Amino acid sequence: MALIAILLIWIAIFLYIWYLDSKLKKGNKK
Amino acid sequence: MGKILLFLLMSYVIIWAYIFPAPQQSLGEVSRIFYFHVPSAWVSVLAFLVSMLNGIIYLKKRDLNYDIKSSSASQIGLLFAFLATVSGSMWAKVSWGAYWNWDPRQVSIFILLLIYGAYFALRSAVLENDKKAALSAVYSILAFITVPFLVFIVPRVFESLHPATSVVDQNLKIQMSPKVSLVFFPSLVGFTILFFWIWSLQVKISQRVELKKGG
Repeated sequence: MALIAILLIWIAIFLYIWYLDSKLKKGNKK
Repeated sequence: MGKILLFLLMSYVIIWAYIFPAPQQSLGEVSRIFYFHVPSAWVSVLAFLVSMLNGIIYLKKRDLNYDIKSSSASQIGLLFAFLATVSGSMWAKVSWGAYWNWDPRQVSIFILLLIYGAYFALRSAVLENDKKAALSAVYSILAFITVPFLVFIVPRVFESLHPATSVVDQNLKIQMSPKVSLVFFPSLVGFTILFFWIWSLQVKISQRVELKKGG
């Protein structure tokens, strides 16, 4: 259970950083 | 592609940190936090080093981009130092009986947090960009001089409950079982890549903030 919780936290952190990364890249193109 | 590899690497670390036996049997199950606590501390030292190097480059070239790189690295360094402190005190609660014991290791990280906290207080106190950048660059160099002393020397000189030989022994030889190494070193690599990724994003964000302020 703890393993799944930590994996989910990691997935959330990863997706958020990825989202921020792609948003900044899009901003640079504009 | 690199991002997917980082995702898989960190997922591997998280899963195997749970599946393999606890790294320090004498400290029990809680010692699994070792796989995240030590890499967090490592990233904070690395970030403070990157901050100092960019500070030196700023002093040479007087290009504000290096000031942004330096302060962004310090921000992330402070965040990871805080994570190392929190994970360490959770470990301390189970192993030593209290979250905070004023152990030499805890005192040294506390001083380090104060030193880098003061770095941001200094930055926010100076309004002129060039002056702020020059002062922070000099401060980041002075602050980093204390890092090896506070992180590596103080806890080894004074009697501490904190283990000093969990990664390398006194002859600087890696002393870990192969199973622990199989999780620990990928974790170090993963945390390092994660640092450089977050740092590059933080630099871009700070550059935009500066652009908005300027124009």
